Amino acid sequence: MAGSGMREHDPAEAERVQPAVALQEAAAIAEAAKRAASTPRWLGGAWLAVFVAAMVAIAAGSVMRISGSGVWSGAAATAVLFGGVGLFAVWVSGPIVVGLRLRRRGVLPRRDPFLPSAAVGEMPRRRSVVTTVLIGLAIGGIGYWMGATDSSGSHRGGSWALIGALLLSTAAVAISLLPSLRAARRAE
Amino acid sequence: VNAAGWDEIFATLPRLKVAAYLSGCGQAEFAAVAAATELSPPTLSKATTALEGAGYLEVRKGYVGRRPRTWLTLTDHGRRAFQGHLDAVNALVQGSTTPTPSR
Repeated sequence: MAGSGMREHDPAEAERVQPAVALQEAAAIAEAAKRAASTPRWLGGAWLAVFVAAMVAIAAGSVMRISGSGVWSGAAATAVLFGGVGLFAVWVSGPIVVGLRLRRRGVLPRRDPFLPSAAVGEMPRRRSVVTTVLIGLAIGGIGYWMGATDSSGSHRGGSWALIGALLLSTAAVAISLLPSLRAARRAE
Repeated sequence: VNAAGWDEIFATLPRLKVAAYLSGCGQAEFAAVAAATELSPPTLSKATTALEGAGYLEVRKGYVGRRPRTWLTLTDHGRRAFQGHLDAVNALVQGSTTPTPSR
């Protein structure tokens, strides 16, 4: 096969494959592609752990805020803040890590979450951009609610949380768009 | 494609290998496919041209950093055709049908 060069009649290309061999080859090669495109189990586990911890922190913070007052407000806000940052870190860092890894391997999974497309110069899917902004808004909204229900009655803390979350989501979308814009400029 | 689903496009090993590899992922870079399928670049190039001509494969030129790259993707049509072909081959191997592959 190798070294067949640019001959007019490529023996490898012309050779018909036996059915049994075809099935074996197809199964083995498709499996190899799936392995190459997949995320390592330890990485998926780490993301899941951070995600669960973030959700627990947000839930605990919300419960504390609803049921408690005074000193509990600070603890609740801290828990929600940590949860929000953790959640956002999973959403933004995950696709970046996968994208860089796949970019090095040259294989992309069938359902690329967000940045892998950008890593090869494609525009990220609209749905992914919208989801990122929505996650930012949701986290900002929780932060705003925490600040709005502060015992002092001040919205300042909540406003900062909302602005921070919006900045984070904007940065995530910008990071995902940069490689695509660079590729488009080169193509011109 | 005959009535049993046997597709002549996938009748040769290089085309079958390329389709099989791309069926397991979303898209793959030319060099990655060549390495995984153990096909030489010219052989892979001919196979991709044949698959692209049938509308089963999409070839896209892009960049990774500053380096130009060629990305290969199996189209939805190609994915369906390849699965149909595998089903036909499987049926043939199990002896449940008598295929008449047309040349």
